[in-house]
Amino acid sequence: MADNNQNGCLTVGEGVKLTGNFVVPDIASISGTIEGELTAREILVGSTGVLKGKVTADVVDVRGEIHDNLTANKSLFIRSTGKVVGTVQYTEIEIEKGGDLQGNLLKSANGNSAS
Amino acid sequence: MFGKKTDGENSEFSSEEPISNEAVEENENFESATQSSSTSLKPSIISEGFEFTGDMKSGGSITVDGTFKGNLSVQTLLIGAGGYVDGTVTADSINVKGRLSGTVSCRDVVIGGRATVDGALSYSSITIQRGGTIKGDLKRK
Repeated sequence: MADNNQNGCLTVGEGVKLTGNFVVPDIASISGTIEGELTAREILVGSTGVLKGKVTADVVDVRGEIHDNLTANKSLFIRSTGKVVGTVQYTEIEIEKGGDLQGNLLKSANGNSAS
Repeated sequence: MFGKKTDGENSEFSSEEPISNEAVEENENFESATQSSSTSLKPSIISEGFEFTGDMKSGGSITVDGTFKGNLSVQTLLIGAGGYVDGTVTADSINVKGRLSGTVSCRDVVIGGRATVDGALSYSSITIQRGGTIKGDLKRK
């Protein structure tokens, strides 16, 4: 994950709560709670992580929860502990058994990603 | 599994006795016969190139490689790579490798990498393999 203080990364630890709008050029690794708008290249939501609001990224990997509005321009992965509720737009999706996906799904014809 | 229907009361139809196990049938006897022993049933098959329009009910499993349109209520539904199911589907477990559209209610659903699911889906457990497409409303029971 985004361990070594990499440039352009955001790490939110467990128990941390943020509210507002965030633009992350690279990886956002979330184990706490974010409310508001989050845009990143890649979003990793840990099992304790909760995102509420408008979430946009190329790649989204969910072990925690995402609510309201999610756009994954390339890939969306919902792991077995993951939960996504709301309007979801994706290009490619994978859900592990046990993963929870509820709401309105839209597949965007954004076919410029390989495989 | 369909053999039971010719027992007893249906004596007037006894000339039709050699009904194949894979025939798709609809009548009251069929329902009661299938509900009792769902595990030992052979799957019914709608094979490639076969198009069925209507309602179907079974306590067993059905494999659709052709086209099914209508209301379907089964225990296990498998939609093959070339299969297409359109309508209202109620099932315990669904495995989609082809296309499924309409209103779907099930306990366990697996959507394969090349499958397309379109419509309202209500489930208890869902698995989507990478590349699978799903559109519409999802609800967890």
